[in-house]
Amino acid sequence: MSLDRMQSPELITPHFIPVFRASEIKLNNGLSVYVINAGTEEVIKLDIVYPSGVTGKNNYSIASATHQLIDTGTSSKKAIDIAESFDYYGAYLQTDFGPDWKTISLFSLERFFNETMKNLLEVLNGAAFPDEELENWKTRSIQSIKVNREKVSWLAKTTLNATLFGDDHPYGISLEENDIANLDAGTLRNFFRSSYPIEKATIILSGNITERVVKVLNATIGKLEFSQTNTLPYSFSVTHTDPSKRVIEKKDSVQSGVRIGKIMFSKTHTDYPALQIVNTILGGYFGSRLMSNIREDKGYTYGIGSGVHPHLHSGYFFISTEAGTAVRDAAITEIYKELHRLTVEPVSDTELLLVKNYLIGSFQRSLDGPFALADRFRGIHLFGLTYDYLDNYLQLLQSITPEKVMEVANKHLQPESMTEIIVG
Amino acid sequence: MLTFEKFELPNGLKVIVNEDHSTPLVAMNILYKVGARNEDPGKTGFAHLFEHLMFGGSVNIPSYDEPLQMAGGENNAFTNNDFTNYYLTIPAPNLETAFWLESDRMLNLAFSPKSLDVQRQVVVEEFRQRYLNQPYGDVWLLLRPLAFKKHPYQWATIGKELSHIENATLEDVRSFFHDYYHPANAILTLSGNITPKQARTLSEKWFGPIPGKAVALREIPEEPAQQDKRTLQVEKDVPYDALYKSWHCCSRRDTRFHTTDLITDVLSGGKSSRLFNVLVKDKKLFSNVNAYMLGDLDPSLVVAEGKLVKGVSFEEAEKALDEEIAKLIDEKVNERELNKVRQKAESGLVFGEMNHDNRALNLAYFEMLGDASLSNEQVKSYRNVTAEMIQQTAGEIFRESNSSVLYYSAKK
Repeated sequence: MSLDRMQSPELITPHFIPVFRASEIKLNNGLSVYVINAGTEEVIKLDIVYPSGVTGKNNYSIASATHQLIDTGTSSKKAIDIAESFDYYGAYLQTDFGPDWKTISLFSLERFFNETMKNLLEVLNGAAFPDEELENWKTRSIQSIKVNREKVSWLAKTTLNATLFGDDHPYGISLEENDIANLDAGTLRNFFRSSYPIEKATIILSGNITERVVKVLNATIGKLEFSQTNTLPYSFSVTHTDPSKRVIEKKDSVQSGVRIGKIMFSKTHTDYPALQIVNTILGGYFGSRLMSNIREDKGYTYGIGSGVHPHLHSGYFFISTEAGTAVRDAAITEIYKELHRLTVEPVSDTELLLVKNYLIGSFQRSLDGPFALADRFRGIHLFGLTYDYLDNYLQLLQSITPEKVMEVANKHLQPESMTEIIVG
Repeated sequence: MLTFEKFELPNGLKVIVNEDHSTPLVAMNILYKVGARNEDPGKTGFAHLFEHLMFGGSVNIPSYDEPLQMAGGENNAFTNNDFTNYYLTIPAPNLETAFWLESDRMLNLAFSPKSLDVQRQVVVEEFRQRYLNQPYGDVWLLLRPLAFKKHPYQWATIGKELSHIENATLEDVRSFFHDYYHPANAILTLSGNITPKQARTLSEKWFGPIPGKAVALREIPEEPAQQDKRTLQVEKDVPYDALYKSWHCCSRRDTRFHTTDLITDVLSGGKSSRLFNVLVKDKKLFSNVNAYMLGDLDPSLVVAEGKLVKGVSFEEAEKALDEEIAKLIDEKVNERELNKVRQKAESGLVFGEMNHDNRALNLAYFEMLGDASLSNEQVKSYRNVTAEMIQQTAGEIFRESNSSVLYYSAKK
């Protein structure tokens, strides 16, 4: 029998698989740890997620520097010794800082977890912020800011955030030379003492979680005393700004960075899951309307996409691309056409089905392996949501209609509501 | 440890399967043994442009992406100097859709003039975005031709110049496909929710009928041993001076590969490494520094690079870098440091096998090197590296006459 290559194999609608859930355990000192024991490799990841401690523009640079320099010295160890104590066991300590949260993640082989946790505990107990480490970091950070400022995509991104939220709002700040140059180590030490309360942290443990691993955890962070400090309450109120347009000249640029967006809302908003789906149609995957039209049909750009970024107390929507200076205006016209089309023309059943199926597959991909499962959990838990959120999202994926898509687009993605930044 | 089964179809296609039912997905990887090193010096950037065209529809199927996304799949591809790699993940029940799509584009492409027109433009925009419009973006366009005089590693995968891409014709594209895109020049690997039996049935059904062809052997010119230090100074609109120093070293398949890789880890693997601590922290000459090897199929380069702190001269910076490198030749690394880089390499391998895309890629890559089972011998190879081997290999590589240096200076 000859093979009919024109005929696609039978399509089976990807089904929903149950999400492997985190379970909560209590350490001896009462700390909760969320555990995801999965996967086949003998590896561990421990995430300690603290509230950022940011209260405004005045302490943003302090909070950020403190976090990035947390592993650069204790009373008994120099930066190189701390780094070596992790490197030796093939472990990684990763620090990540944002306006809502700051995270310390330890990646370790299971068989060395005892040693690597002892090293981490030393840091958590005794980070010392040596003066010379801060000075060296300042030089490096300032140089890196100056290099970033040569990148049109970086400029467009930071300018849009600052325009939407205000350049002194934690969601709109980007650090400048002065913010960094004025820091002193004493301030960092004080901030460290008051802004790393372990009892306020969300602790997530994923990988091959043996009994030995839990024992190690009890013998280390399970012995930490609670600091009882009162961190300042932080709730960033966001003032909605009117849409505006800004062009930043950058001479000799062969491409322009374009970023178009608006303030949206956090993950807890009723429309958030639906907006995710609408965003996917517009610019959230390779076959999206923006990619199909502006890259695959017209060849104006190497890449274009859109996204919805949730903060704890707000969020924003953005479209981002880099396009040759000669075709930039044509590309922007097409972007607005696509936004407009979403609000006036119902999406076809075929396109909606494709996006639904793609997103179900995408959801399965986001659960591949213990670290991915940990990230999924983190993405709901930090926003005060439960696994119900994921169930609801999957249900919405099945039930969403072209009318609902148009309704959400009309409510949130009107072209006139967008702020536009062009650099270059 | 990756377990796998391997078989070969009569047309020469090799298939490798890693079965793992802990995931609802399957990752599929198809590696074609063609990269920028196979290009004609007058038509560079072609392997990469061609990768873009592989998404422009095949002989029986007008769109590659749509049916894949409809089946819940996602895909991408990359090209480097040695090979072109296409990969996707798909929910297991729809795996046959992936076989259908991938086999049709191996059979023949649609060669649509519109697709060529658009993708030429897209690649030109990619060239601008990644190489021309980024600070320091053109470094490899300068360093490669400095270090390589005969071997095709002298050009980057994006190509030597925009005109090579702009002038590509449909005829060029057809002949490229004909030479390199056929079963015996490809490796198909699968990882995830699939049995070897299923893999065999589906491979025979979809890839089996594709006619076999002998692999076209095209001589790749060897790079002659370098006799004298080469330098190039350029002045560009960037905020800081940057130094790039390269030395010729062994190929990925050479027995000295693991030793050379650990040498670069001693120099710059992690924040306890030598270059960061001496050049950035103690001497404050660089604001960042990095050393790595390219690990290509043919002998290529070890590179050390970094941005200079404002006010530091190139002479001062290079001298300090050379001093650190000389220590590798003058003194043996101690046991603790050796263990550190060996364990770091090992954990990198373990973390690298956590997701199924990586597993499928690893199997294909090692099969290209000679045998997929090499993927399970890497830890041993790193453990076997001794302090003496590091010292000796460092001596072979780090000779001044073997170096090429790019002084990338900031316009005043």
